[in-house]
Amino acid sequence: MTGPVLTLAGLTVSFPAGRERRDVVRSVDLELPAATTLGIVGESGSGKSVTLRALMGLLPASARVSAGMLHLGGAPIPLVGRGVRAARRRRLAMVFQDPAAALDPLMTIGDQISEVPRRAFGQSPQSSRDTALDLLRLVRLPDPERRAAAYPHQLSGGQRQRAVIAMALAARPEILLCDEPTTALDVTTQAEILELLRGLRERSGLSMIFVSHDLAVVSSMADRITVMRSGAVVESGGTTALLHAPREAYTRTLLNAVLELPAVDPEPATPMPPLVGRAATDRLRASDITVFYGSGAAAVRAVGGVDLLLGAGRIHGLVGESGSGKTTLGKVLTGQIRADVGRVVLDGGILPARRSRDQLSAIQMIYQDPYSSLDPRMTVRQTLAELLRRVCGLPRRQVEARCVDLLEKVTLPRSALDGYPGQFSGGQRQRIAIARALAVEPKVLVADEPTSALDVSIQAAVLDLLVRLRDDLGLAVVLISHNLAVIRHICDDVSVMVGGVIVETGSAAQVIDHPRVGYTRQLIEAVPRLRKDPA
Amino acid sequence: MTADPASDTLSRRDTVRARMWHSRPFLAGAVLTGSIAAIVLLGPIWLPSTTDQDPVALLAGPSARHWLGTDQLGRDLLSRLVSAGRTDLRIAVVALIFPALFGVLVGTLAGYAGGWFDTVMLRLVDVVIAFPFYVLIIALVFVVGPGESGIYTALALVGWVSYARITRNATAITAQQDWVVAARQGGLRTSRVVFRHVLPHTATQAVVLFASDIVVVIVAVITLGYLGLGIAPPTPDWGTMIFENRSFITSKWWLPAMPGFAVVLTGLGFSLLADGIADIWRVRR
Repeated sequence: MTGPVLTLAGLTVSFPAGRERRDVVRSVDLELPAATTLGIVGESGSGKSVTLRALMGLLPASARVSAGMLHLGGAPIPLVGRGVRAARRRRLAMVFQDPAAALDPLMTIGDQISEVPRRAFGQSPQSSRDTALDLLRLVRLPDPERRAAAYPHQLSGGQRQRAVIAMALAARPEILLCDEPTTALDVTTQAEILELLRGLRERSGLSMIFVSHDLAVVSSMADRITVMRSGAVVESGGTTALLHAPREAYTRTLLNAVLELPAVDPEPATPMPPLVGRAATDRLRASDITVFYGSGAAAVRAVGGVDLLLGAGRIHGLVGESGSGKTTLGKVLTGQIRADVGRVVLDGGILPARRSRDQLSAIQMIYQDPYSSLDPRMTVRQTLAELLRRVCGLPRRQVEARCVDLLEKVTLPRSALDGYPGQFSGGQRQRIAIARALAVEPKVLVADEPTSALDVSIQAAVLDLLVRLRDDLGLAVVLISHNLAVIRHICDDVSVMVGGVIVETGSAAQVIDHPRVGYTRQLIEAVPRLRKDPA
Repeated sequence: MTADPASDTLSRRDTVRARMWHSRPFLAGAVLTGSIAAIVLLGPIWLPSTTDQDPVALLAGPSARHWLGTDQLGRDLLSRLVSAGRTDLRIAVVALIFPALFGVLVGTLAGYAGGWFDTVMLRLVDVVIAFPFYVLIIALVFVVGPGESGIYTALALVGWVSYARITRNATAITAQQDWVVAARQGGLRTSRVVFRHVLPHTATQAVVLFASDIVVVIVAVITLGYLGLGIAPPTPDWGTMIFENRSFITSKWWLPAMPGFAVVLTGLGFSLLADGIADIWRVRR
């Protein structure tokens, strides 16, 4: 191994916070040996993205670098100010989290990519177009000639990310910086993009810095891993060593928070008895649910003839990739949208297309984004008391006690009652949203990706809470998620959706450990796993 | 990079109060409009009557007795200026507040309910907005008949549209927010959802619009007065004052200039106030 291609020493970056400045990155050291991949893992606020932006010379104007030295191949490189971009040309390129935002919507893919060799290396228009096509082939974009003439919105998310990678490679960098490159993608697309990046690295000897909140993804890519927390490095080490014998408690916490999937059984399982009749009581039954978006010839079928059976005191996972219709199905169950065909039966009674207020409140929903699901102008007490007084008809003097009781159920202190949503963290807000849902004493809870916006360490607490509510209150829960590990971890039953149809239903253990349908198997195998064995 | 929400220990109320003291447009606008309102409301207590004629001082210059001098009938200019301001501001506020409330109500219903009501309202708004505001107001007052009631009628027909449109759009966006969906799902009545969970978030835009719109209406009232379609003499109004004194522009320039100056100052005050409120509430315009 030759010397490092990149060393960063003592990086400290501050941002304005009110009248003072706050260090969001403190004395961060990094070292990247040639032709290796360094993974950076951390939760939100860990400073991993700011560090990456400092390397790329893309810090916003409000940021101030108070200390730090960056060397590329032994030569010092400025972190801010004049010449930041020139010094990085042909050495560093970046792949961003959101490929849609990284591409110019008004330029074709081919034009955007060929612009790089034309400007950077003075290639002729014709030869730069050829280079762009070569790059699109290199990133294995199907049908590159036609895709080169397409605009970003005409490509899928995974195809866009391939185009972004092609554009990054067009600058012929020595080091590729990847900022959560697969976070916005579906799990099968994520697996393809990770595979592509691994292939590029092996063929071209590219060095890589790979930033992600997902320890499993990072471990599948990196030779060495740096763990960051609140702006500082917690621990650095070889991937295998770090995963096997973490030295710091925080690394162990992160590792424990990773929900692991067991290996998939190579043999398809023998058919199991159907779910019907196994639950103590059938709480919610949806049959032949079909939903179209749009009308006439332009109508798109979002959900097509889906049956779902939900028992009291059970958690039913609804898993699928984006566009599978799982969220639409959830909205049909809660009555937020009407099904074009099919019916929903709650405790033996058919729910009409236009539900009464009682029928609405019987099925509550937990929303994905904890930042928009609570009214920002109301305190927690106002939010809860409004429902208790107006929906449950509780007398005024009992409201306070019931509010405290609800907060206890979601393990929040009484003092939280006087707070506004803006004063709470994402995990706390999600628990307040759950308390609000419980206030009207629902029979069914539909949770739509309740932990997707949360850090892994908080995710576990929210999931445990759902399990406790199932056990203590006998709630029936529909858990909508793209995350198979989450589903496997807490669900009793699972339905796998694709293209608006359920392709497989059964107990969670059976479906995920012994999938019968090819699509389910493909989905499960695409989930990145912690790489604990030596590479 | 996202800010850590847990570290934001200020409640919403505190941050709004803090922004109030840091917004220069708000402070300047509040002081200016506040002073104008105070002068206009309290001034007549001390000032001489607007109809008293001082026969020894016709067209007199500024003096200790008449701070801004007198007009050709020997009436105190400052008295008339303050009294005119009182009339013009009263008419502008009254003429606008009811159409504004009506517009907010209609816009909220259209934005929340959608459907045919929304379509009809939007087309109606398009028709009214297609005409230039001042031309439409002058034409309407001409048809309905001049004077105070004419102004009220004309503005009732025209004034509500911008409130309806701005509130309709804000409502349509807010109604999609998860907290509104959750309030409905919780089993609250539609009226409660609209008034408690939608309107407080959309009304801010209407308030900001009102503060800037009032300037437009004051100018309209004064224009009508100048054209002889507004307030009839001898009740003083800035528009009629400019008209009556227009021939003295070369000899006693302050006679027509002072009412104009008052209009500019009032307009500036309300515009600054509107900017300031928009700052404080983070309303995007």
